[in-house]
Amino acid sequence: MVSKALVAASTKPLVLAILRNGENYGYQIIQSVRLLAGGRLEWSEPMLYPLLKRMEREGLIQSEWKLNENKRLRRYFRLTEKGLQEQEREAADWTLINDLFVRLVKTGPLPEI
Amino acid sequence: MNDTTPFNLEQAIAEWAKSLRRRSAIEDGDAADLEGYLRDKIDDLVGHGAGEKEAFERAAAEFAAGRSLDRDYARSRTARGLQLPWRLTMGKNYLKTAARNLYKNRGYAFLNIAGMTIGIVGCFFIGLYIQSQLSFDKFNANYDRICRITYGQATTAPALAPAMRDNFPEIENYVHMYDPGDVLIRRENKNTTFKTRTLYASAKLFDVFTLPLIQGDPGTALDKAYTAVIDQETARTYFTGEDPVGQALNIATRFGVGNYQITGIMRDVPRNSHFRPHIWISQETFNTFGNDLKSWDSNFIHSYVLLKRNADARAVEKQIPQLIAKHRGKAVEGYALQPLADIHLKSSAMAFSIEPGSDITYLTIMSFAALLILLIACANYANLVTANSLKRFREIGVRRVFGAGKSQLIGQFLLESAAVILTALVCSVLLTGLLIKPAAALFGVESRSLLTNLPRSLFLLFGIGAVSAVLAGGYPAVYLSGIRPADVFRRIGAEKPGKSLFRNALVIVQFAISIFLIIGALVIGQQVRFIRNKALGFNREQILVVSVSQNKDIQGRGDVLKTEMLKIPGIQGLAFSSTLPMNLNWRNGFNYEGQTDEATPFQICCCYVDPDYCDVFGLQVIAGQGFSRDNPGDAKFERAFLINETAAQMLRWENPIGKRMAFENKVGTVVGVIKDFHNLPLSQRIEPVALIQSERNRRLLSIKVRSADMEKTIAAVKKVWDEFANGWPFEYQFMDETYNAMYKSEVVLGRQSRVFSAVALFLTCFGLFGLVAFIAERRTKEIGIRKVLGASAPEVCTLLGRGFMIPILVANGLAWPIAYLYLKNWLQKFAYHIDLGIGVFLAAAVATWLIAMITVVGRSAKTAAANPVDSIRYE
Repeated sequence: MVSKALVAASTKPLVLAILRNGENYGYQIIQSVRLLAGGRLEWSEPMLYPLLKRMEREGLIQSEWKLNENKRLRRYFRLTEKGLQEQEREAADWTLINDLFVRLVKTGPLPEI
Repeated sequence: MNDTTPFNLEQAIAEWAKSLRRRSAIEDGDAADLEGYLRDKIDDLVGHGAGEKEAFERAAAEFAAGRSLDRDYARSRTARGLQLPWRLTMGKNYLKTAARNLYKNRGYAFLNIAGMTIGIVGCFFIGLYIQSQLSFDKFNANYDRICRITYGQATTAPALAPAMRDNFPEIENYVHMYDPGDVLIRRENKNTTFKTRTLYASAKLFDVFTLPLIQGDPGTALDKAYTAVIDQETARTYFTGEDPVGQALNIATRFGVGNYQITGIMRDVPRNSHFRPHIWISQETFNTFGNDLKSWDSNFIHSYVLLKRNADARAVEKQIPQLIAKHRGKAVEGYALQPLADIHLKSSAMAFSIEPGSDITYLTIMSFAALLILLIACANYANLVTANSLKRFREIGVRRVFGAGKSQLIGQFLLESAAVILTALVCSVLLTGLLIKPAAALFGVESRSLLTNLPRSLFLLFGIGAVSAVLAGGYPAVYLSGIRPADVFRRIGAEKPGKSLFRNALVIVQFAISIFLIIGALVIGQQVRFIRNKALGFNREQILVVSVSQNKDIQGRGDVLKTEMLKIPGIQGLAFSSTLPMNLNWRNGFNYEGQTDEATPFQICCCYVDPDYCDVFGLQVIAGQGFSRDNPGDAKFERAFLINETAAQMLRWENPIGKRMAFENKVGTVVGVIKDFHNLPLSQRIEPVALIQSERNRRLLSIKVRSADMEKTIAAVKKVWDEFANGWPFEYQFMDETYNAMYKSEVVLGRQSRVFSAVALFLTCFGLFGLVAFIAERRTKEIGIRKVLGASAPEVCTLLGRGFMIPILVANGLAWPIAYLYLKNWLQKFAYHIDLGIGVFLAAAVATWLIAMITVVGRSAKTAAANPVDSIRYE
C-alpha cells in the first residue's frame, strides 16, 4: 500500500484532475480513484470531505446541491477558473517529479557535475 | 435491540446522523455531506447484492475508523489567508442584519436598550462612588508608607511619634496634627467667619504628605510659631487681588487669639483626603499655649509616621510596648499602625477621627447591589431576545443551510448584543450627565467627587458595557446558534420545554433579587427608625447646643452668663460640658480604690461637666447625690465624680459612694451613681462612664428650652451671648439633629437601599412587561378563539398572568432565607437592634406580587380588549 504521506500529498492534485473532467460528487470521486488505482489506492470519506471543504474555501472548487436519481439531495463539485489553473500547475509539478524519478530508476550513474 | 426486530434503514441512518451531529467539529452542512456519502455507499453495496443492514454496517464502519475527522474538519476551517477579508464582509452583513432587526422590532429594541441603560447607569454610579471612596488619600506619593498611630482611638500621646523616629530605624519621619475645633478668622474686620477647617501641624508635614505649595517653601513654612499656610480658597476669600504671603491673618482658637503670618499658599486639599483643612497652623504655636508636646499621658494628638521603603509596619507595631516601657516604666499594649489608605474606610468605630469617614462594609454592600442590578438588566435582555427568537428561525435556518458554522452564528449574535449595549452605553453617558447631581446626593457626596478621574471613569463604563455584552448576549448567542435548519420546518411557534424553563428561571432570579433588596430596604429603614426613637437614658429634645470652644471670655464668666440666661422665660436649664452624653467616648485610665493590679488602670469614658449637667439632660442619680455648688474646690480641683451603674459593677463596688479614684495625677471621690445611659452609638454597648465636675474644658453650652416661642427664646439667648462673647459668633445646633447626624451613614444606606430596590423592581417589571407582550403575541390566535367562545377580559388577563404566579412564589422561597441570614448578620453590628420578624418578608412578598400583577394586567389588558376577529385573521 502507498505510504500515508504520499496519499496525503497526492489527494488534492488527484481531486483537481478528476474534477477537470467534469463535475462530480464525493462517493463517485472515491470510487474513481479506487478503480483507476486498481485497488492499490483506497481513499476513505473521512479524508476526502474535509479536503473538499478546504478547497472550496480556497476558491479552487465550488459546490451545488442537486437532486440525484433517487430524488435525494447530493452535493456536486466542479472546478473554478482558479482551480483549473491550480490543477495545471500541480500537473506540471508532478510530471516533473515523475520524469526525474523515471530517469533515475531507468538510467545508470548520475551525470558529472 | 431484539434480533427479530426488522431492520429499519432510515431509522438507522437517522440515529447515525444524530450521533455525528454531536461531534463538535461537525456542522450541519458537513453532516449533510457525510449522510449523502453514506447513502451513496449503501446504495452501491445494495446494488452489488448486500442486504440493507449489512450495507449500512459496512458504510458506517468507514466512519468509525475516522478518528481524525474532527481534526480534519477543524483544520479545513482555518485555511490561511482567508480569515480577515471574509470576516470583514460578514461583519458588515451582521451589523446590517442587526440594525434591520432592531428597527423591525422597535418595541422590544426600546425595552432592551432602555433596560440595559438603566442597569448600566445604576451599576456605573455605584462603581464611581466605590472608586472615589477607595481612592482616598492615594494622591499622596508616599501613601503606601504612611501610617497613623492608633490606640483604639485616632489620637495618641504626642511623645510617642518622635520617640519612635528616634528609636526605630524603620521610621523615616513623623507628623503631628491637632484639631482645635472651631476657629474664628478675622482680617482687618473685613471678613469674619467661623468654623473654617483648621489644623495644627508639625513642620515636616509637607515632607510626608503630598500637599503642593503654590507659594512658599515647604521645608520652612511651618517652622516657627504664629505661622500659617492657607489654601487657594482662603486666599481668595481674605486676600482678593493681593499676595497673601508675608501678610497676617487674625485667628482665634480656644487657646487664644493671635496674628499669624502667612508663609505659604497650598493647592486646595483634594476631596479624597481624610483631612481637608483650609488652614494649617504651625505646631510651634501650639507649644506657646502651654500644651505639653512631650507628654506620654494624654492621648490628644494625631500622629502619623512615614516608614522607610520595604519596612514592615507590623514588626514596628510589636516594638511599641517596649518603647513605652522604656519611657513610662511599664509596657502598654493596644497600639497599632493604621495604613493611610485604610483610614477613610476602616475607622468608623474609632473615636476622634479628624473627619468622619465611611465604612468598607457599605462599599461591599453597594458592590453587591451594583452587580445585582446589572444581572437583572442582563437577564431581561437574555429573556427578551430568546423569547423573540422564533421570529428569527427562518433567517438562522437559511444561514445554516448556506454553510454558516455555529461559531459564526455565535459571533453574529454577540455582535448584535454589542450593538445594543453600545447604544445603551451612549444613552448611559447622556443619562449619567443628567443624573449626576441626584446620584451624588444619594451617596451623600459632592457631584464633583464622583468624577475625579475621567479616563478611569470611562474605562469603568466601558468595562461594565463589555461585561454586560457577554453576560446578556452570551446565552442568547449560544441558544440561537444552536437552532438547526430542520427546526425551521418542524414546529414553528412551539418551544422546547427546556427553553421556557430557563426563561422562568431567569424571571425567578430577577424577582428573588428584587425581593431581597426590598426586604433589605425595609429592615434597614426599621433599624434607622429604631435608632432614632430609642430611649437613650437622657433627654435630647428641645436642647440647643452652642459651641463655646473654651472661648476665654465665656469661660471666665460662665456662671454669670448662665444666671443672665436663666432670666429668659423660655429657658429651663443650662450646662457647660466638654461633650454631650451620646458622644461620651474619651477614654482614660483611672486608678481606683481596691485596685489589685496597679499597673493596669481602669479605662473609663469621661467628660468634664458643671453641676447642672444631669438636670439638663435628665440623667437620673440613683445613689448618693448629684454635683453641688457647695464646695467650689470640687470643680476647681476636679475631685468629684459621678459614675454610672456599669462602672460600679465593673469596679465591683457594692457601695461606690465615697470611693476614691485618680487620673491625671488628680485624686477624687465618687459622690453619686447615675443610671446607665447610651454614651456611645447604638452599635456599641454602654461602657463605664465618669462625669467629672469641672470649671474648665467648657467646649459646649447646652440650653434646655421650652417649645413655645422658640424663635423668641433663641433671639433672647443670642442677645445675652453677644454681651459676653466679645464677637465670638453664636452658633448652635439642636441636639437631636446632632444625634441624627451620628447615624448619617445608616440613614444614607437606608435611602440608597430604597432606591436600589426600586430600580431592581422597576427593571424586573420592565422585563416582565416584555415577556407578557411576547407571550400575548404568540398566543394571539388562542386568545382570539377564547374570546369568541365567551372569555372575558379579566379571564384573559388571568390566563396570561397565571404563568408568573409560581415563579414569584419560588422567588420568595429563594430570597427569604438569603435575606434573613444576611440581614441578621448586618444587625449584629449594632449592640442594640430590632428583631427580624416575619412582617417584613410578607410585606416584600405582597408588594412584589402586587406590582408584578399590575405590570401583567397592564400589558395584557391591551390583548384582552382586542377584537378577536383581528386576532384570528392576523394568523
